[in-house]
Amino acid sequence: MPPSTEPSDDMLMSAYANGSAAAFERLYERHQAGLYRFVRRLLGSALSAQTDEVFQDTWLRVVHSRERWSPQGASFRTWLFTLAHHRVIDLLRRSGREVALDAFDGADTEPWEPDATAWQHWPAPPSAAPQSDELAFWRRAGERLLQCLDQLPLPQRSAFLLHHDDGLALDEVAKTLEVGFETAKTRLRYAMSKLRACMGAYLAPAEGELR
Amino acid sequence: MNRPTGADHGADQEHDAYLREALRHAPDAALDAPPALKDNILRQARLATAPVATERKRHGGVLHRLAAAWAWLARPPVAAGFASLMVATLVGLMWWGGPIDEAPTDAGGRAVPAAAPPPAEAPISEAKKKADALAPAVSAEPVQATPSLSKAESPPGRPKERQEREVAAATNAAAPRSDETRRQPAPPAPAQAAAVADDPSPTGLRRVPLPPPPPTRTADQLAAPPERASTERPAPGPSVQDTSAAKAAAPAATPMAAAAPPPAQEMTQERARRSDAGKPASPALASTAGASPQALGEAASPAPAPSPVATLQAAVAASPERWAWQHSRGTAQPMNETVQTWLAGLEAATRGRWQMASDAEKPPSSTSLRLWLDGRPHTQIRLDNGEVSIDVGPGRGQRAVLAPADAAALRDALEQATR
Repeated sequence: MPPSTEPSDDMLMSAYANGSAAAFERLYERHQAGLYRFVRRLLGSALSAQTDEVFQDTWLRVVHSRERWSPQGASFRTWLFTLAHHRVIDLLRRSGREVALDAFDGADTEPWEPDATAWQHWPAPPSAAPQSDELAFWRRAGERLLQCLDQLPLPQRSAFLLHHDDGLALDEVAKTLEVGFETAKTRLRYAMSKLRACMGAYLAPAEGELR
Repeated sequence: MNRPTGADHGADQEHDAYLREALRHAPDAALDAPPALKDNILRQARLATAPVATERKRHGGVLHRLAAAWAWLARPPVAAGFASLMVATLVGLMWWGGPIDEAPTDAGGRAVPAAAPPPAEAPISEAKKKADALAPAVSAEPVQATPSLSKAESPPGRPKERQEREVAAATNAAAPRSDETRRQPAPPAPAQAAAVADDPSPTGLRRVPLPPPPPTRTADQLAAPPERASTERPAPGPSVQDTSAAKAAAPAATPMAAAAPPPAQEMTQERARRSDAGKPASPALASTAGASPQALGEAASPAPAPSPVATLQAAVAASPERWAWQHSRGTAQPMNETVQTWLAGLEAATRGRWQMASDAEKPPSSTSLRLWLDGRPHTQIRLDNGEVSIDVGPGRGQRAVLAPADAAALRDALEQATR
């Protein structure tokens, strides 16, 4: 999050709508990394080559919609990721992939909830300066997580990424995905359940405690 | 929409630190947008807000509208419509104020010239020979189209130019159809050519040439010797004394030949001016070339044929010092008032009685009066039993039949005048 001394996203966007190109540059620098990762991981490994296209298209949508943008309602960041999400859905539909907007596809029951001992063999979340062996473990976990993300439906994947990667709260995730809060929460729970199962079956247990 | 409770939102029970840490250490965690992509996006953002970009967009809008208009004009239906409109406008401008071509066409569909303009100066001896050969036949068949040229028969309110064209068509139909003369139409008179060239009307090129005005016989022309006239003028052309013959033999010249002769005073002045200039050309062409259509229409009216004697009398009165008379029994004498008085009496006695006469019809001469101009024989007046004939050249004679008493009186008066 930007420091409090910095102008807010809404202020920068209003300034850009009034003709300040510098305000847009600051907005871009502020959100470009998170948006680029979000788009790339949302597209998955199969469509990662389209990341640049979706990313640029999203920003151009911002440019062209600057005069219509209003700070009322969602924040700029929420609006920005909503635009990106729409562009990804459009791209997936153009590519012939079936986009299941139902977050509970194939899940008639409650998502699997790992018990407290599920992560008992995993190391603790790394500190600011993890050890080399821990760093290697988390890198392998990250690679595995990306593979597991590819197996998630798009609504669950987007909910998980917005919540865990971009740090949006659940209500912001709901606004970004233009769904209700409970729907967003449920999508997130299913996503986490599947990812835990996927990750737990792959990663070799390691010494350590769970939190 | 369900709103997150404070406990849910605050506790964030859906947050998994292990998955989040794994995601943070994923291989693509440090990826950024390519610099080129960044530059492109920022450039687009600047262009969208730059005033130059706005101006360029506005200018592009104008260009776009022009391009759209041009594309619309380039559509085949629109282009064809505009082309048709332009052609129609062009044709309309070319025919603006011009008469409708009602001239008859020949078998090949080619428009027949309205009239063959008689040559003014170029001698065409061959044409003259043919015309001489045609003259008797033409005189035997009086032109029927001439009466139709009457102004009284013309519909009222008709355009003058149309009348002129009808006159031209009628005269052309009555003109001797010599193939050679059709192939080699005589050049128009200089005055008329100049008038056509000076015509500022844009329709001048389309206008069918009017029949050139025939040379009106002025005093100077009347005074011209027959030899020169025979070589400088085509045979069908009108002569001094044979006005009625000219109407029949040269219909193209009929309107002007039928016109009343100018007053003697005007002819005198005109002749004096010609003499000063020393130009034997036909001034009548210039005067008639500038004649108004109304004057031409009036000329087409069937005015009574002028008496050749009256014409001769006027010529003599204009310059009596150049004339001489010679009785058949004597020698040539300078012109005097006595002979001129006799000519006036002859004109009064023969007015309205003149008709064409050929050489074969000449009776044996008994009493004659020959008039000389500048030392050359010009006219011969013959008085026979009940008939007066006047001759200015071969085939150009006219005769008038009089009562025997009148003829005798004229003969006696001539004898006294020439005594």
